[in-house]
Amino acid sequence: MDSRTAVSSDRSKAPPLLAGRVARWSSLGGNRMARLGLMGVGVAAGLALLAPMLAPHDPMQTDLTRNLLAPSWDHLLGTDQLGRDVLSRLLHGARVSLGIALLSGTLSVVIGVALGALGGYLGGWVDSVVMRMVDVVLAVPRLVLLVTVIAIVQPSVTAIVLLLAFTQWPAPARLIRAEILSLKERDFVEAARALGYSRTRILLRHLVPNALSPVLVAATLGVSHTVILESGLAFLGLGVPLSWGTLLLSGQANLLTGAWWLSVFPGVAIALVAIAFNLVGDGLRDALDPRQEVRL
Amino acid sequence: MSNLLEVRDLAVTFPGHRGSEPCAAVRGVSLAIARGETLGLVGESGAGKTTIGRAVLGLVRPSAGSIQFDGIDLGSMDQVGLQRFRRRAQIVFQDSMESLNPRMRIGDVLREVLMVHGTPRGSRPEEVRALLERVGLPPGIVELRPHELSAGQRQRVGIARALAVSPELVVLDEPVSALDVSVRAQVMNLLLTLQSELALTYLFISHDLAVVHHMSDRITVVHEGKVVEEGPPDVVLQQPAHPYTRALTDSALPWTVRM
Repeated sequence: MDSRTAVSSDRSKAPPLLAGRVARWSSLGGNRMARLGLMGVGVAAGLALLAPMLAPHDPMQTDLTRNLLAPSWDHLLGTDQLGRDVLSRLLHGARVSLGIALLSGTLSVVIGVALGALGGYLGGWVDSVVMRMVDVVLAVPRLVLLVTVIAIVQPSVTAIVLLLAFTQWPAPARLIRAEILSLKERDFVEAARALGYSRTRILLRHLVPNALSPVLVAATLGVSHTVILESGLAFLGLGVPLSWGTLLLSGQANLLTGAWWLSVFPGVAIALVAIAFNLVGDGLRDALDPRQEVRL
Repeated sequence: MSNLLEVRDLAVTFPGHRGSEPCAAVRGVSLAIARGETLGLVGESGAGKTTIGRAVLGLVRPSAGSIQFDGIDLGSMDQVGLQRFRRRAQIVFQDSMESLNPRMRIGDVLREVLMVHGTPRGSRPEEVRALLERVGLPPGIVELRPHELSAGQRQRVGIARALAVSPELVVLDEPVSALDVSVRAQVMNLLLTLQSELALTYLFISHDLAVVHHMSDRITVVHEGKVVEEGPPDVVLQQPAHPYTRALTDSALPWTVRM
């Protein structure tokens, strides 16, 4: 097929600019579910960023005369046992929960890509050391490690972000290592060596950019995982104030009294954000994987 | 005429993976290429042609033998010497899609070579234009990525990239095998034109006897990592002395060899 087009178009005008990239991103747009997910992520991020402006009340303002009010026009999602506005707490909580998930996700990708790429490219003892580190992290049950360490150091955004990143980096590390192992045998890397490019240049300009796609997909799917994990930790009492999991925890005590709005709204928020990131991740995978032609 | 490249008793052995036997790809090959000459390297797949080509460029470490480029031994070169050698010897690959970074625009591919080899920023656009013109590509192609080009255009980019350092020796590793017939002829003619304009020396690797016959001043036939025959194309291909060469010419369609 390729050689047939070559006959007619060799030396003739080239195809339109940017065709590839536009096609790839519009194929993400063309996937209805992915577009829905992208919208969900966008809305969640927008609400989180604008929380101080959007929140109708101070999320920390207690008013014991107005506690456990059911949803009404004044308090759209009701109030909690201390009379704090649930909607305001949920909006501010989005900053905490999304912030932790995105920060730890980014950090784990940075660590994983750096170590995995070095291991895959350099091979030898560097690769062995990286892969043994991966084995060690994967050998420790994640939840047990998180619960134990957070219980010791006390929950804080920094501690939770660092711990989540530390337990997550093996996934991107393995993915990028595998990609780089196959990429480094390709002729364009051989050409770069023949042209005397430095190893740093070959790694950063020629290998890593071509190896990032699967990492990007896994990282996006990973964010939804992290949102749930962080909420779970918070639900166990190992979270920071306002995290959606913490809201869920405070609602649990009042569930029997009939104050359903304390549990349902944070729960729905967690689920929706997790689903949204999953849809975006799936869409990205379809868009970036040329072998997979079928769309949802 | 002095020899630009002299290879003596070259052997390359790849270590076996996990218990399997080490693989001797090249076992004692000697060849010499005079300045401005094209040496055709013929043999079936797996004969060690490509490995010889890579070893000559210092991309594969020889297990024995010596490679001398313009009188300097490749093994004795230090970092500076090797970088200087990189500017004098280049390679063009068979699969043009594989040999270009899929994410880089053609302009960036060429600019990168110029940058690494110290062309001042200001004169790079001019040089890129000159390179593209030299290989018969329109200047607008700099904005495109490899998959947006035809196979013939991509191979021209591969040639331009090799020429960007103004090399003396170019290893052509099956440069036209992946192209279809009409484009193949164009690229072969381009290579011949470039050779006469730039006084290039070619090591032309191919399994296609007709192509090698057309391109080469001399032919070396390799079989299982060893040279079995060498000489002028007409002699080697029409009166083969070695049984392997005879088998090779017999298996090719008769009219393609006679040209």
